[in-house]
Amino acid sequence: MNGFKNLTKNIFTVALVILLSMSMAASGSEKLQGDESDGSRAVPVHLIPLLDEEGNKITPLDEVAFPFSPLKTCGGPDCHNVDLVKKGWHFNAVDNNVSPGRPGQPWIFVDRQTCTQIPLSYRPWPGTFHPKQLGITTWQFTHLFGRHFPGGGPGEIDSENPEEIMRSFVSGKLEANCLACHNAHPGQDQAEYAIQVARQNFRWAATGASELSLVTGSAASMPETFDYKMPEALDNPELRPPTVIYRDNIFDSKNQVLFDITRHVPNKRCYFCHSNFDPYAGEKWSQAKDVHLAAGLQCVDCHRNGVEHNITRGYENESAASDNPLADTLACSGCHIRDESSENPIAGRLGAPIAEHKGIPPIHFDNLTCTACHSGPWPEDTTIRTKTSRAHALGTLNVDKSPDVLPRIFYPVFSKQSGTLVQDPSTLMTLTGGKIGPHKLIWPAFWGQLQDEAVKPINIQIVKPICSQIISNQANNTGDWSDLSKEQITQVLSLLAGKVDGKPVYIAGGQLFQLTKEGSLSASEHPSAHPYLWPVAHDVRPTAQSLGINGCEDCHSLSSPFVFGTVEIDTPVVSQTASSKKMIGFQHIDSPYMKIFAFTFIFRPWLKSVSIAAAVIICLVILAYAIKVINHITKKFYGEA
Amino acid sequence: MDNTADNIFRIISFAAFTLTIAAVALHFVFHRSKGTKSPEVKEIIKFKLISLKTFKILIFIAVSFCIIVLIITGFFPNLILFQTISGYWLILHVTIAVPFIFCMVLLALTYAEQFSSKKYPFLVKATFWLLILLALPLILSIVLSMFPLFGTYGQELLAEIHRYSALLLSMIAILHCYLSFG
Repeated sequence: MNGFKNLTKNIFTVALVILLSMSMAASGSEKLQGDESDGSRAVPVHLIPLLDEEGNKITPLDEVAFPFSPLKTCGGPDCHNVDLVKKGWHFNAVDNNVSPGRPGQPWIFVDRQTCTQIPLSYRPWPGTFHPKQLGITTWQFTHLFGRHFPGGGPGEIDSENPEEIMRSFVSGKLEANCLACHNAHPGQDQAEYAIQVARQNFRWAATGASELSLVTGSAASMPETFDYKMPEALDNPELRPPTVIYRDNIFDSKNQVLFDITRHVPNKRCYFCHSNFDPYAGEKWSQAKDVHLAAGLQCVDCHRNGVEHNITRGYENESAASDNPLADTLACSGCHIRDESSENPIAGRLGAPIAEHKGIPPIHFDNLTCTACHSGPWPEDTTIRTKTSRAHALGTLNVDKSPDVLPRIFYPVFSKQSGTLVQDPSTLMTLTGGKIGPHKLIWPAFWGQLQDEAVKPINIQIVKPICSQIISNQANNTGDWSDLSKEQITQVLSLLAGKVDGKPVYIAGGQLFQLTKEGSLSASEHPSAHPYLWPVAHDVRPTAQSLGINGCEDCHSLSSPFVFGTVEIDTPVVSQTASSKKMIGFQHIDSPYMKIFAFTFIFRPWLKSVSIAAAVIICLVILAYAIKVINHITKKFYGEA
Repeated sequence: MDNTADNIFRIISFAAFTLTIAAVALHFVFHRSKGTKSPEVKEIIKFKLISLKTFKILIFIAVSFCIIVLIITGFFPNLILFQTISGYWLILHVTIAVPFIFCMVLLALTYAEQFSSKKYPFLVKATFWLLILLALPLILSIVLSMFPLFGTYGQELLAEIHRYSALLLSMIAILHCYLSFG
């Protein structure tokens, strides 16, 4: 009997261990049924049930229509390992164990009232600030910027603020939304997604954005006691709770719904978050298109990933920070430069023309990125202002279309790259640093506290009430800075003193403003006031429009914008507007040397002519005496004969 | 240019310079001519202010000066600083390259007849003609790289030709000077 008991116990233990390890594997790195292709090029039909955030099936007969959960619906029974997907680049910014790679576009927090424009990132990119430093919780971050990220990341993390934890019961979490990228249906509406996020309808955002349903109401106006599963009549009839109305005839007889899902994400899905627009270069239709897109390529032809969603960003030496096996071969050189040492030619795939770079000394490739000559707008004497989807909320409803609207992003700034960061700042590595490439730039402007020569931003909630007393939020419709005088800075700094740990300072336009012991305002340069730059990759120009096409003088001349152009300095401080900085200051190159070097190119045609003439004369001399020698030998030979 | 090629060039250059200077020094110690003056030295002794000989001497001095500066600016960054020639080194190198080209042409024109006569030892004549011959790949490798004719691999090949021609020319120039004046 005891033996039977022991056997049963052992079997039970083994079964439990197997079950546990299976479930751990499923939630970990194991690929599920839908994660791995069997090789067929056909697109699997996604006729599937909709599941709510608790995994319950949604049917048209439900008394209250719940929003569907993309994670539960796509995760389904053994369909996709969504935990694995969520480790991907688009969702993992909050994970400290992920290598931050090359510094990229930050989120930019703008507040005109406090004259603030500050680059934020959960990744430890030098020059950006952690949202927490500004007092922005994950819940607030999601509310502010969730419009332009595909859910997940901070959207799924509990806020540090207890009040916001209560709010998140009402709003729900902004789950990773697979449909944001993979829904090929024309009805997928990310602008609607942005509206839902603005209404704090995080739980409803994916449902509202899809073609399947309509979401009305706003979680923002609901009391903390609101329960979406048991909505009760509200006292105020004007308040409308978030409500889902599924469109007619979307459910089949088995209560399944047909999704138009694609693995090959269409460009229009990427564009919502990754558009750029130069407001002073004319309307969008009149502006050029990236040469790859014009040739018919799609974003995901180069920016590829497996089920891990570890998408290639497409920069040199990316493999140092990425596990994606294609990380290096999907950068420019992978397709456009023939690798003589490789037995299997990779270059030229997808019809990529092989770059020959005739007449360009190889030293250029040691010092310049491919994008330096091939990407962004043709450089002019001064940088231009540009807008991006994420910074300017492009594509959302009622977006401010003014060309001067904050934040102010300038480009192309030809600057030395800061390199690739691996893991975290403590093991920071610079791999590609040193190459000059085009960048976008933002001049940070914020109220900070100076401690041990480092400046940390002051919590915006401390700054706001003080600034509102002193700085008038001018009601102009340009979205421009509120004018800030030195007297106002002095007043704000005086009021901030004692309210923060360090010495209050204001950073703007590359300057640090602080009060002297006498109480007057002083301005000086400081590393914290340096602009934040991130590399430009697109739009790529065709060869015929690349730098150098007109000769070396495109860059090596005294008037070349590449070296001697200017970068506009942006600041709300009235007395310091309309200033600029020389491009060469970002390249860490000796300015007199570059001027002398550029000057030598005036004589280069002469040098070529003289050298060729000299070579011809030397040839003739050698030839003449060679003939003489031959003649001598011949004479000797025949004379003796 | 990859680091391997740079390292190989550095090793070869160090070895070449060391061997040449050592050979010259050893030869000077053990086989130097006692009392007999070389034809070059004899010509310098017969110096007259305005004459073809004076012109030739000036050309010889100018070429020697240019070669010394080009050796320093060309090899110093690579061999000592372990970096590709750039910056002010490059500007100085290119600036001196122009008079060097002029002088090499004049050297070829004015000394060719002299160094084809029988009165000079074979080695002196051989080193002179090698100097003139090596000037061709040296000049052409750099001039051709300025035209849009060669792609990256062609450019790298031209750069290799240029620096190895320069190395050989430097060796030959040292030997020629020693044989002419030693």
